[in-house]
Amino acid sequence: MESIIQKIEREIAAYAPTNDAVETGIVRATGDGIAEIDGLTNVAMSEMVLFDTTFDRTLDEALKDPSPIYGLVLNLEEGGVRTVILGDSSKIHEGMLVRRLKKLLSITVGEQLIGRVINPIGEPVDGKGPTGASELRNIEREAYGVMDRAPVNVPLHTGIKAIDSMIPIGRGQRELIIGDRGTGKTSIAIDTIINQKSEPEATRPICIYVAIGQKESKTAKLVAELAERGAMEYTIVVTAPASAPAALQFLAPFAGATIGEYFMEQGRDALVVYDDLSKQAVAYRQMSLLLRRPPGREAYPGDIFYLHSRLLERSAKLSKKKGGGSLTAIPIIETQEGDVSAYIPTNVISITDGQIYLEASLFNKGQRPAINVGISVSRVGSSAQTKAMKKVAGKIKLELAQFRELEAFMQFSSDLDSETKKRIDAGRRMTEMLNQKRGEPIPFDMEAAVIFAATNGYLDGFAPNEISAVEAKLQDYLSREAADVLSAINESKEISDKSEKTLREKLDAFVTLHGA
Amino acid sequence: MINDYDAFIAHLKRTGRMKLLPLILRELRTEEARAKKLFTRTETAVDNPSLISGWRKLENGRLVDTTGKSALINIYRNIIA
Repeated sequence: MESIIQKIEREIAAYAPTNDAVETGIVRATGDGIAEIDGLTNVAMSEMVLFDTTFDRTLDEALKDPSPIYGLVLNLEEGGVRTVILGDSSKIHEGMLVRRLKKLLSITVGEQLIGRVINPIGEPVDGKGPTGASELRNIEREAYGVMDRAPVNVPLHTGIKAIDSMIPIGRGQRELIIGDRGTGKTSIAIDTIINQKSEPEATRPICIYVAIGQKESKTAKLVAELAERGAMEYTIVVTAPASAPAALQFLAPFAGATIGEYFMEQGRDALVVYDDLSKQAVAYRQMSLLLRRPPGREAYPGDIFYLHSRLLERSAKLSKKKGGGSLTAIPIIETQEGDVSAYIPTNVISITDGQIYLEASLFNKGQRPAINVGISVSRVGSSAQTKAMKKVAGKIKLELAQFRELEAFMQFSSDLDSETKKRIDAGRRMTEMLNQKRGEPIPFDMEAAVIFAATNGYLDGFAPNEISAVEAKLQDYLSREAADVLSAINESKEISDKSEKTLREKLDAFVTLHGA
Repeated sequence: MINDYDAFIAHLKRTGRMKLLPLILRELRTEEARAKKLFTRTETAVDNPSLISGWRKLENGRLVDTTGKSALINIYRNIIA
C-alpha cells in the first residue's frame, strides 16, 4: 500500500506553478445562508463558486479546516451577485475571497453510488469513504423532448394489492402520493422499493430515495430497514435532512433526478421517490425570500410551479432509439388537515400523471394502506398493466364503488334486504382483502392469484373479519401447492386458460381444506 | 466619480433635488468601500512567509496565484479526500 509520504512526494514532484488567472469576487455581506458578493461580473446563473477559506489565513490555520465550501449563484444583480451557501455558512465572513469555478452545479454519478447514502452534492454521508463515482453531471438540465420519448407500457409493481390492481403505475410515469402526516405515505414508497427485490435482476429498477427535510433518525431507520431487506443492493439514498441548509433541501430532488437519468440513459429503469416535495417548496420559499425575490401566493415565489414541473418533467420512458430506459417518479406531498386545494398540492396534482390519496379517517379505521380508491387515479398506468392483473382486477373497482354507495346503510344492517347485505359483505371482504401490513409487499404473481380468488367468489364463504387470516393461509398454500402456476403467471404476465384451470382446482382444494 | 463637489451641490440646488443628497452620499460610500475591497494587491512569499513560495496578484477581480501555499493545500485536500 502506498504510504501518505509517498503520495505527498509524488504530488509535489508533479506540481508546476501556473499563471492562470481566476475570476474572483469578495463577500460583501452574509447571513441566513445567503452571501452577497461584489465582483464576479462574468459569472453565470446556477454556476458554482468556491468560498476560499484559506486566502487570508496562515498555512497552519488553513490545513486545520480543509473542507471546501461551495456556493450556488442564484441572483445576478448590478454590481454583484447573490449566492446560497452549500455548507456551513458560519465560516463565511465579509471580505472573504470567492473563486469562480466556471461549471454549473454538478454531482458525480455512477454504478458506485448504488448502496450508498449521499448528500445532494454527491458527498457520502454513510461513513463508508469516497463513492468512487467519477462522471460529472449538471444537476439542472432540460427534460427530454417529445421525439425522444415512448409511451409508458411497462408496469412498475409496487407489491401493494390496492395500487397494482386499481391504480397501476407504469415505468416512466409520475405518480403522486398525497396525504396528511402519519397516513403512510413513506411506507408505500418504501414498500415499492422493497418489492423490486422480487423483480428479475435484468429488469429490476435502480431505486433512488430522496429524503428532503426529514429527521435524520427517520432516514437512518429507513436505510437500516432497506439494508435488512436486501434492498440497498439496488438503492441509492440522497438525504438533505431538516438540519441541512435550505439550499441543499432545494437541490436534493434534482440530485436524485440526475442520478436516475444516468441509469435511464444506459437503457435501464430507475425509480425516484421524492419524500417530500412540500418540504422542498418550503426550503425554496425560504431561499427566495432571503434572496429578496417577490413573494406570491402563500409567500411562495412566482416560479414555484416551474420548480416542480421542470423536476417532474425529467421522468420519462425513452424511445428505443434512445435506449428504452425509464425514470419513474413517485413524489410525495404532505397536506394539512386533508386540504388538497392548497397551493403546492394543486400544483403537483396538475403536473403528475395520477395521484394516490391517503386519508387520515381511513387510517384511523385501520385500513392499510389508507388509500381512498374512489378519488385516486392513474392516468397512464392502465396501459402498462399486465394482462393477468387486468383480467383479475376488472371487477374490483365496480364492487368497491357499489360498496361505498351502500356503506352509509351499514348502520341499519338489521333492516336491509338479503341482496344488499350480500353486496355489503362482498365489499367488506374486498376491503379486507386489499388491506396489507406495512413492509409486506407481495410479488406480482401472488397478487394476481389472491385477487383472482377474491373476485371469483372463493373467499365468499368466509366472514369479512376472517379474510386477513384466510389470505395469509392462502398465500402460504399457493406458494407451496401452486408454485408452477405462479411462475407461469410471472413469466407470461397473463393467466392463460391452462393456468386458470389449475388455479381454480387449487383454490377449490383450499376452500374445501379450510372448511368455508 | 464626482470631481467638482461645489458644482454638483449647486446643480442639486438648482434642480430642487437636495433631498437626494444623503442617498447619494450613502451610495458614494458604498462605491468607495467596494473599490477598497477590490483594489489591486500583490503579495510575495518574501513579505508574507505564509505563502511559502512564489507570488499572487489580485486585480480587477482576477487572481493569479503561483504560491506554494495554495498548491500545498490542494495537495493536502487531494490526499485526504
